[in-house]
Amino acid sequence: MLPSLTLIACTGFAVLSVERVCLDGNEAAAFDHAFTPGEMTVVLGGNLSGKTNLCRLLAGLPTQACGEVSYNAQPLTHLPPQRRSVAVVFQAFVNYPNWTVAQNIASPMIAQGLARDEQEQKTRTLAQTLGIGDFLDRNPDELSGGQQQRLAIARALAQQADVLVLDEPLVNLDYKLREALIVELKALLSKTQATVIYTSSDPRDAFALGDQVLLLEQNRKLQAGTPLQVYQHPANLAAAHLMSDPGVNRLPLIKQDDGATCRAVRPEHIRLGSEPPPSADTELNIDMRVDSVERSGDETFLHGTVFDPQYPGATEHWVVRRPGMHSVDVGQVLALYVRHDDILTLVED
Amino acid sequence: MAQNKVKDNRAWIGVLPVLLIVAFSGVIPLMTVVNYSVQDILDFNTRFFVGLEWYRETLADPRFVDAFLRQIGFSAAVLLVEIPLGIVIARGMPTDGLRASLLLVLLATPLLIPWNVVGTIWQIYARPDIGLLGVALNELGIAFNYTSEPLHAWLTLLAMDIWHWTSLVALLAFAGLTSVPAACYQAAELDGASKWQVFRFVELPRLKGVLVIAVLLRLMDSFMIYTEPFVLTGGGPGNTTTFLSQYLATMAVGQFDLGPAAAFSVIYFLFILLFSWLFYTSVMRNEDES
Amino acid sequence: MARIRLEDVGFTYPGADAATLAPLAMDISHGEAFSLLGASGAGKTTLLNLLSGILQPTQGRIYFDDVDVTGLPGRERHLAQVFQFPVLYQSMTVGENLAFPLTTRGSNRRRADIDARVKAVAEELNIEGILNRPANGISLFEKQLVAIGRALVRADVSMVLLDEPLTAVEPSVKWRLRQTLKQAQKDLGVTMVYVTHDQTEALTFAERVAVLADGDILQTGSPEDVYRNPAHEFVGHFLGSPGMNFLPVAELPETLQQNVRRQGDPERLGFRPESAKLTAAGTFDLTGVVRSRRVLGTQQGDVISMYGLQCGAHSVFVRSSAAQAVGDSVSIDLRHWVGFRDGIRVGRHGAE
Repeated sequence: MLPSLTLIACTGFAVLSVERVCLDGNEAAAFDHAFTPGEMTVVLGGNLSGKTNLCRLLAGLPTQACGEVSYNAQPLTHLPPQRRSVAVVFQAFVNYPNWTVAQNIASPMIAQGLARDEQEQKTRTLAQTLGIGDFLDRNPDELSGGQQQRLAIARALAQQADVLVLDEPLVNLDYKLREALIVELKALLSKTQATVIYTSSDPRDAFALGDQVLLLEQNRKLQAGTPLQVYQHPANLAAAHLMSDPGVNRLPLIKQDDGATCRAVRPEHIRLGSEPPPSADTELNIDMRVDSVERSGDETFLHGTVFDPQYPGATEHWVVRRPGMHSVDVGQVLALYVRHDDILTLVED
Repeated sequence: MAQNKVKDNRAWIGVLPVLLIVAFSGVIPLMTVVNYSVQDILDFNTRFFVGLEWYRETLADPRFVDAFLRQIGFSAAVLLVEIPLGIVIARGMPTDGLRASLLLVLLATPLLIPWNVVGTIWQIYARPDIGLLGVALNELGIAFNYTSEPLHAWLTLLAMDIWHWTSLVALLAFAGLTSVPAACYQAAELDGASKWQVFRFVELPRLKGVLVIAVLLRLMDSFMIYTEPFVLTGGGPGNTTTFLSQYLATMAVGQFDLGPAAAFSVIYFLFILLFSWLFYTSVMRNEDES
Repeated sequence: MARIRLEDVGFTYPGADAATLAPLAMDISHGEAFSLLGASGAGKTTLLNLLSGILQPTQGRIYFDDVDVTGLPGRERHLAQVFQFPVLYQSMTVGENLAFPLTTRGSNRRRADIDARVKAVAEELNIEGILNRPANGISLFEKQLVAIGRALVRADVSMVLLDEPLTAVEPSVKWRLRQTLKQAQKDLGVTMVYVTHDQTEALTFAERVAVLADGDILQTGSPEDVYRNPAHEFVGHFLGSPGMNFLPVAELPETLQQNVRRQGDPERLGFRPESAKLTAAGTFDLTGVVRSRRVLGTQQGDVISMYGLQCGAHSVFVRSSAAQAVGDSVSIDLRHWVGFRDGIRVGRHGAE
């Protein structure tokens, strides 16, 4: 494999960590985080959650975020970007427009002073792996969007950096292409031993790519762990929302006494009355008036208003996510069932 | 906690040239003029502080007031013709192809001619004895003579400025028009809008930005016009085409009245600033309301 | 409202070698909600421009209610269009924007009639509260609602073309706009043609969907039909995430192969990730080895995963609640499949 990485692997774990990080320069929200070495951490957060600031902080680019970055116990904080072993792929397709694909991929290796034939060899291998091997002599603007982003990824991989930062790299692509690239990326990146940081706002990316996930909201760290851990045991309402597509549904007005916690259920954990009942009958029944039905083919999303007969007037907007195509009339009232085990009791923060 | 900004003061070195240029070309000359304007300068070693005397004198000078009114009249006339004419030309332009490129070059031509040459061209062109325009008009039975008839002198000056500068407005408006999305035209077409409605409701609101720039440029420029009338009419006949800048030049360079000329300059400068500011804020205030 | 009929309509750009749009037929009923679904470059925009009269077909005829409109410009086809980004008259108020199409065309409508119609449309779209606001001062979401309102305001409109109308709208509120559109379509009985690359939008909005690829319509049918019984392999691949899996029939186990061949002798077998079940190896003929596993969430307490399986030389995705590890051998039970020959559906099997 890549020489510098094998070295690290032999000398033990080189941990990338951040300490006392405040992503918006506000110290009240400062947090620490150690990225699992050699694994892929998906940083999940919505708009303005601070994920781009975190990327820029790791890469050493100008940002309002502050805090200490260290790798393998060596502080990086005051090193300029070019002296950090950190490669970055941005959301926009950033390539050298007047260089060919081959020159683009080779550019970091030229900077590192690799021998010419070794450069060519590696360039070809990388281009082949990323499916742009046939375009080595073209200019980036002759490539499609997906190919341009593959090129940017190839260039980042050519750096053989210890840390690879990908800031929403697929967000500007068609969904079919995104689907294919995610599978490819997962396979490709699991082969490198670099610590990979991948930001996204889509919980499906966290499941598809992440060995670990770090949830950010409004520049705060909400929770970290494996995707399934975070999904099954969200730390609070915001974490449950973030790790849910669409967001979680709150149970109307059935609040705990202290008022600081609420109960919620994930859209995919709601069963329609018309579906065959599960073996256990420990279920909560609730009625929903359907406001809208959305169908993506493999799934149906029912948007509606849920009300508690005991407290008329207390309503919540819910989304129910069911596999398959369901035909439901708008305006109809549906009986919904939720397993008690699936009801999340969460701190409202 | 330390900000994660790489501290690097070398960036100031990059800014330095601009600072120096602005200082030497703008700030220092302006301060010198302000300094002169409050002094009576007999020779370079003999100066007296006179306070606002020169300002009072300038504002009370009937020749200054006349030149000022003439100046306003000239700028207003020029703007009233050039802005609408520029828009009309821009709307008539083809948007692409060889014809568009050729027309753009043709339009830009007057802008490339040195100002004193523009003056000379029109001075000869309009001469009643040998100029093409002057002779033609006289042949048509119009006793055209811009050297003796103030009205003719004015019309010649206006024609010259319109010829010279309408292109600029047209080019700006053309650039503005190309940024109107095709969907907007299509929507208006499907809504059944008339040509006038398309202009009024689709194009004009989107041209506002460039038109503000065009008006500001033409306002400032026409308010400071010097070379062309100097060459064409020399301010005559009489003083009927003497604008502010020419009167100022006469004072400063011709009579070497440095103090009053400096006060004049400062007043002149403040007026241009005031007009531009008034225009800009009034336009932009409407923008906020809408 | 009108019935829209395309007869053999094709389009080739001047000087181009290949046709951008193959000669195709399309029939949209009076008052129907119809979607054109396709990836970028499929010919959606060309077809849209042919309908709106920006382009003239190089062959074939277009009929609106049996009137040949092939040579007519857009304004004479009496259609309305909603664009990707809200197109408003920015110097007017919301109300003036809505009223504008009623005041043009030298119409002699009375002020009161115009106001009544504007009010009715505004109520339908829930924007009666912002009628007096300047069009510049409202949110993007509201702007697009106003643009839709302007398309709906003329009662004599033959159809409304919607060109990816939700592009500029924030993802979390897209469903609201979609629902409003659907409701308005139903209430007003307008013929609507919705052009999009997004399957959720197409399948949610339309009564019928036409799937477009490489300048040709591959299938027209109800959302259920195009999803479950794709007429073409591309339709199966394009709809669904991940799309349909395909396996060559010749490489299937013998008994399954015989079963499959009985349904029109297909070359390739297609099945959706959710229409297969994973069981322990040996129960069924079709087997595979788990290559990857991606957790999707939980269902009734069980973890649901998308498994990537190696079936001979091919890889397929199966969605399952079975707990399998990478490297396990499993049996695949096909509940529903579609058979294709030369990319075209020739047979299918399986109930809901």
